[in-house]
Amino acid sequence: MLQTSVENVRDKAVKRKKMKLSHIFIHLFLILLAIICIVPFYIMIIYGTHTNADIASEFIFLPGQALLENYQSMTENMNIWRGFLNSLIIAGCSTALTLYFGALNAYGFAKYKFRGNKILFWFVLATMMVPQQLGLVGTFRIMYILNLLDTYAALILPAAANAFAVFFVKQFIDGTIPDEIIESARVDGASEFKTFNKIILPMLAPALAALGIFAFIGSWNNFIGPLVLLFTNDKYPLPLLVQLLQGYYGTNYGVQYLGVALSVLPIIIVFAIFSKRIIGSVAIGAVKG
Amino acid sequence: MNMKSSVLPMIMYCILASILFGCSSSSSSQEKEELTIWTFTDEARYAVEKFEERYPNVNVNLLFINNDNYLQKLISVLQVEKNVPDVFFVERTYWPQIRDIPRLENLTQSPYNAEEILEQQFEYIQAEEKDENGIVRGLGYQGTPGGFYYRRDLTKEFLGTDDPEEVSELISSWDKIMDIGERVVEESNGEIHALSSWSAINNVESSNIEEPWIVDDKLTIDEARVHTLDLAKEAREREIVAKYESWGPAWTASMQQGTVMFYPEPTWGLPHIFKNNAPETAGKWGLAHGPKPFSGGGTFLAMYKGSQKKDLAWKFMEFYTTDEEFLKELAESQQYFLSNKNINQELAPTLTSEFLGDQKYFDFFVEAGEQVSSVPQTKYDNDINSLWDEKVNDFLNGRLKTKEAMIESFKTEVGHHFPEIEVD
Amino acid sequence: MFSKSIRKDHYGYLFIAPFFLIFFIFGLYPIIYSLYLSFTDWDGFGQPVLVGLQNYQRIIGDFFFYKSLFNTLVIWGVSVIPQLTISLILAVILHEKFVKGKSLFRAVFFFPNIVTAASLGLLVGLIFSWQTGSFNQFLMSLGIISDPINWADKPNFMRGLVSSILFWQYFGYSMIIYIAGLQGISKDILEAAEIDGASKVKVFFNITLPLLSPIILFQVVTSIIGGMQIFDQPYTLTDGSGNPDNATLTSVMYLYDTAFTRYQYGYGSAIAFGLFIVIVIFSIISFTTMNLKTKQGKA
Repeated sequence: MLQTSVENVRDKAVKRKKMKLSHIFIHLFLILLAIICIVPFYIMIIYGTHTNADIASEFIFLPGQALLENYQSMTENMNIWRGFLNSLIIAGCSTALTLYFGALNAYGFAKYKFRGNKILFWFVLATMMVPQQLGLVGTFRIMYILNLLDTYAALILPAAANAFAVFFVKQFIDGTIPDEIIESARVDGASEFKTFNKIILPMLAPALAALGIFAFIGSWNNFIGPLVLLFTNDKYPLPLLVQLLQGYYGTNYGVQYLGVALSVLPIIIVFAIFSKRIIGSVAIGAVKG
Repeated sequence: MNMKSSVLPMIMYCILASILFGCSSSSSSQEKEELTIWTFTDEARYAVEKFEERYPNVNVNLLFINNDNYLQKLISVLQVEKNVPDVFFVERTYWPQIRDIPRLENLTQSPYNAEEILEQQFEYIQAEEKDENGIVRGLGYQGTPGGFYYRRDLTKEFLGTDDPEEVSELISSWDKIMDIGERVVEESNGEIHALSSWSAINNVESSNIEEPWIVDDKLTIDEARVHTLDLAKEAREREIVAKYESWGPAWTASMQQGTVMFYPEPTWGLPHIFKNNAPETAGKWGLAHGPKPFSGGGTFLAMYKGSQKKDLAWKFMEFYTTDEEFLKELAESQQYFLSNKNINQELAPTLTSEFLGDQKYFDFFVEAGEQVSSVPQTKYDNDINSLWDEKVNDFLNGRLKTKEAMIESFKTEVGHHFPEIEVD
Repeated sequence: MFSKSIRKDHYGYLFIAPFFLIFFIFGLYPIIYSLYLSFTDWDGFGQPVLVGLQNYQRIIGDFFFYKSLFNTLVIWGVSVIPQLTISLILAVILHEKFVKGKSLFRAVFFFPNIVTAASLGLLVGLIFSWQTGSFNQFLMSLGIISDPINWADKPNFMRGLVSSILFWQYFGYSMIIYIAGLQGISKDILEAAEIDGASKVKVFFNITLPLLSPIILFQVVTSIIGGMQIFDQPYTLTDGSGNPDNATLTSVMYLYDTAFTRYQYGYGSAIAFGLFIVIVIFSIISFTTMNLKTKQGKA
């Protein structure tokens, strides 16, 4: 009896040691992976502060002194802050449209039992499967017909029909908003749209916040849409400006690195502040989906 | 809470409404005439500035779009005829693609009578300004004969001279250049090369082809192109050429560091390539004639057929190609070699470049320009050129093992991309 | 009450109308118009000319269509398999109690996902460039190589690089989703299993994995739809060329080049529909195989 318990204890101690060792390895693995994730961004920032001649001659890991110089040559040909503004306008408006019309549509499907409700909802879901690029050429055409080529609207308006948003919000409504609330609003004499705008919409806030983050990131990073639909550099959002760096400064890596860094830094800052909320919303989106 | 919740939908409808109905921002021109010009090159800024000085009641709306996207944007607006600029700059590589688009103004007709302007220009440029039917569709303002820019310190060290005429004599054939290159690489322990890459050879040879890629809807490979290929292969094998990609950062760094001896480049290489990328090397450069005359690049001005400002547009085009006062200023202050022979000739005896060690470079290019022949091009040539270049790179870098395999692969690709072209 | 709500039901049409209006204009019309164009020859000037099935016939014999499809599949496959497996392992690790700094790791791993893909493509292109790339310089400063290697000239390497960017961008995202799924699994089940003496590995394969299968299916399907549309990363990495030897030319890049740089709008549209058919086939395959597997697992 006694022996076995001693062995047991020893066993456990060995196990614990093993565990500890494996814990260290796991932590090392995590740290290594984190470093791999960070290194390119570090290089980007460091290299943005060097001249092309420095960059061409050797590997660098410390900051240099050409930051201002690079910034000045970059601003000669492109206004990256204007790109930010453009991106903000496009992504902001798109997100707003996605949220409002997505919620409106989802509410319509969730709470009104009109004829064809199910079929139409399935139709909306099916559109999620269709890749955006399928209609690329046709999109160019319709924007031409509507005289929307080279306008922000060409990128913003289609956001009002976001199938994922409908699906996402409908799930949320089904789960959290009981019919009684609507019935009591009707008894109070509120019109259907007033009920939606004043009572339902605020109740959807948590879902909309999560969805909004998704929609905003998606629109902010959209590349092929503006590439096809915008002509004027002044209207270019950030991803296109970044791509232009190659053309304007193909021979100057310092400026290119700096441009990439400037396009990424604000995202880093925003993420540092809101990372929990952003990650949380991604998780919610996935589980609901 | 109530307030808040009604704000969002309000904003929504406002956004939608403003986008649908009132988005186009009205341009506020204060009685000034507005001219819209698109360009892919920043050198346009200088000309526009001077043009506005000359015509104070004109406001030029100059849009500088980078070369990467320019052609595509230009063709897009010409297709949909929306936001088309009144005047647009077109680079020679894709000029044939633009030239035949039926949205360009006929400049042969009056009141333009562009033929009169053409008479003052180099012959090789005149040929390119006209479309298939001989109608002038664009005006070139730039003269683009080429020469071998060389580092004087390097030629002195390895060839014992930095005199342009003596250097020209030493590099009058590719064989001579190859021999020099071999020696230089050896003596410098692989540090210094005669040329930066095979593109340097191509710069010269591609300007001496006789047939465009497409003749009678059939893919045609000019003998000169195959010859270039052989030269390039030899140069790579004998390490005459370094492996710097043209317009890459290593290429520009080589100018600063002095690791390449010769750069065959056209007139505009002086301000746009060398001064721009290696300003600290002023005075270290010279200019010599190479094995063959050549030209490179060039810019044409074209007018939109549906423009509402044709008078003004023409004024600008005329200003850029014939205005003596402006052109002299341009040539002198920007070191800009012109398409206008008369003015070039007038300046030739006096104009020197400090960057080139006080060499009379206008004189040099006037002489070179007379020998340059025009390069026949079709609208396919730009696309096919880049396919060809890709394949040559594949061949030189060893991924395509033989010349035959390379040409076969090239033909297949052309056939796939352009099914209307006959490929054997 | 009941009768009242019935009377209101037609309001539903009003609520869904704006969405459908916008969808018909900006979603459906472009697709139908593209379908129409796919039966025409059109260079953007003049009017489209009907050519019947000519474009589709051309696709069937188009080496580059298959090549771009092959590239897309390879790039996607090489990125998605580690993306879905490594992220699962990470999720399990980060779900463990003993791990320190969980939220920091989650944030760092997830971060590349929200960075603009175009920026990442360009950045990686700079780092791996031939003569002045920092990667080559790093190797040279360590003395591993003496001459810079022309990475951009190696088809498989460049494909791998695009895959790596995609992996880098999405493994954190997948991980977060798995973690959300893990949080949904009742702790009691897992603890009960451990008390029964099952090893962690056994618990993972016998309990966690089956319970996560709906989430895995979700990830596989979304990654197919997303994967077939790969464009931004290879486009900015190779400056739009899809080189070397068209090894990084993805299907959407081929579509884009055809329609918007060679102005063959008709053929470009046909490529889009060809691609769509491929996506549908793959989605159906993955649905049925996953369904079969889960059914087998249950039986």
